[in-house]
Amino acid sequence: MAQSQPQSSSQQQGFVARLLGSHSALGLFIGGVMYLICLSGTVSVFYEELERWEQPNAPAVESMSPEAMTRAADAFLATGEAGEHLYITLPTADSHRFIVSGDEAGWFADAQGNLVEKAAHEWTHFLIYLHIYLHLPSTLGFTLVGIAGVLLTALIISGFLAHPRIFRDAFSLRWNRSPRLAQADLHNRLSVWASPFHLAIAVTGAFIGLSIVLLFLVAQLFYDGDREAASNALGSRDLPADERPAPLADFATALATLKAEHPDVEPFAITVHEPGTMGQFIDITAEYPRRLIYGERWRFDAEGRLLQQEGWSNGPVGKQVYISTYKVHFGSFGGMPIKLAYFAFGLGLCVVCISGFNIWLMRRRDRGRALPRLEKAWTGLTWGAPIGLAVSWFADESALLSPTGVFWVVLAVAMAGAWFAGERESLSRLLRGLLAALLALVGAVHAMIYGLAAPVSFWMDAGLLVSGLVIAWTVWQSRTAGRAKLAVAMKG
Amino acid sequence: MQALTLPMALLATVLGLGGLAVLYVAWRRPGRSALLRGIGWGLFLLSVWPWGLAGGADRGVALGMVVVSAGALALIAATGQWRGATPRRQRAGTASTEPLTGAGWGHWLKVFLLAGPLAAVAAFVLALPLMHLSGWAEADRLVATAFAVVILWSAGAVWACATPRLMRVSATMAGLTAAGTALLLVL
Repeated sequence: MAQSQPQSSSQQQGFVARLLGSHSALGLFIGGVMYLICLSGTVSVFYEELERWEQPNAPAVESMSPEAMTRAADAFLATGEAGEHLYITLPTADSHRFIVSGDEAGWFADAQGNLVEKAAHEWTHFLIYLHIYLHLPSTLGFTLVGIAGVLLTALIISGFLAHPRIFRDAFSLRWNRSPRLAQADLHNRLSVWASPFHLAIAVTGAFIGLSIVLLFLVAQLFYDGDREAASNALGSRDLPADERPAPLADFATALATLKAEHPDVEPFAITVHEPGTMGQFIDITAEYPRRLIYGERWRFDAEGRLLQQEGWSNGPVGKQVYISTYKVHFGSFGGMPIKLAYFAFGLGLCVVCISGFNIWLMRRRDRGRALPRLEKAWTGLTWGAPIGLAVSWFADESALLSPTGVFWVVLAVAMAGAWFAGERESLSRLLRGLLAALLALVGAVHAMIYGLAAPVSFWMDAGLLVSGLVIAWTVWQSRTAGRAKLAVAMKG
Repeated sequence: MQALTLPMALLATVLGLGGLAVLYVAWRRPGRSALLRGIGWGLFLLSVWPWGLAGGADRGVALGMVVVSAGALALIAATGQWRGATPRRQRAGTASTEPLTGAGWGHWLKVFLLAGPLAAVAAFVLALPLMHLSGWAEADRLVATAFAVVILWSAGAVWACATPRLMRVSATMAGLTAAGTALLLVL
């Protein structure tokens, strides 16, 4: 027994060391890509607000008569921009906007149903596409982001298994000790206490990202290659098309029927499939205020008669779980407080990505095997990515350059420049200073162009300014600390 | 209908944050009292019930997790040692492994293949027939398969990265893939 204890302890140490090794290997393999996905996802938490911020002066509509809705839909169809679908975004308690759109374009309408301004959310779409596709071709990007979700799940599992002192260190944050211990404490505390959030977004992200591959396989194996039939279990398939012309489907009657039968739900989207044809039909999606589900969908025929309820709110558990992944992933289940918490946790996950890589770099440095160029390139990626996001907004606003191209060029320049830069601390301060200035500038320029009358403009522009000030403060702090360290070294 | 029932939400918050406070007190004690730890975790579990009543069964639990996580991070930020002590060197032997040393690129290429494509194939090929045989409703099968793939693939990736015995991992993954393929062929 006396002999077996040290052996068991040594076995446990070996197990923990191997798990830590696996954790580091996985983190190093996916760290940079994971950081970009996490950063863009963190900002995307506010995608509804960002869309409003991009066009803050679009008409505010609190409610709309059925006649005005029909007038707006008819006017939009007359533009010829609808394609195979007519989408109507209804005003809700959270969003006072009425948008009528098709497969290619959309318009804001006023309360009388007049089309007022073309909807253009290019920067928000750029951000979302970075998060869900990494700007790659859609199927490839979607699947790669799904794989990143799997690897994040693996990182969470290996991180927990490799942490035998989880309770002993549960509340320790020793920022005033060695930089490596400070980074390790930050990494571990954020990882452990925000793990429900990390696990939720990792698993739902993997679930969403791998859905295309899974549906393809299920269709090939069990449905003779019919992907629509395979996905029919989760959402109804389209009805047979009949392209003979017809008056636009009576969605106003469908909406009135739904409101009469389900006064407790809040409809937020209407889709008319194959609008203006004999085969057209209507889907209305409504939110359940006390559920995690994205919503429930009801299908109506062209005369507004109810055909079926999807069953996302009361169907098989699988259907309810499937439709809940969206709100769990994007944090839209508790209003602004939960969005702010998701934003903070998202920033925390970015810090976990950065600090994980930093810990590995510091460990190498401590052992005399520093990789100074890689350290600087990592700093370039860390701060170059948010700088790229800020610069891409100017590119989009100028309408001269593509935000996507500008983002990747800025990121590449930041990393390449960092590779050849001097000392890492000065580089970090320079990039942070640049980011602080850019954030404040984005807020100021946006306020100058669009004014601050719309609440979303005020809060977002003020938020950008405050973020810039906070980052500038960290630059100033680290300059002061650096000078103090230098003074001690000179005295020594 | 209100999106949140305030009195129940307050009760749930008190229980959740109370559990956190008890865990913090237990952590501060030299012996790390098991009783206090039990009470802390018990209060967390107990807070699930009022959260379910406050915000809906599924949504309420999610809200509760966000509140406890945010509370814990705020507590750590408030009690952290931000300044004052002299920077010391890291103690030798803590959290020290270097995954990219001690093994050649050939080893890490094998690990990459095992943790990536092979673990993925094994996860898909194993999850698809098992879920098909479960007899559940179609939607339940699809969703359970997706989650099973994520969990199996993640576990396979962790195992492939953590073990020095890559042959054992390869053999197990190959065996599982063969078994799953055989089941798919039978189906």
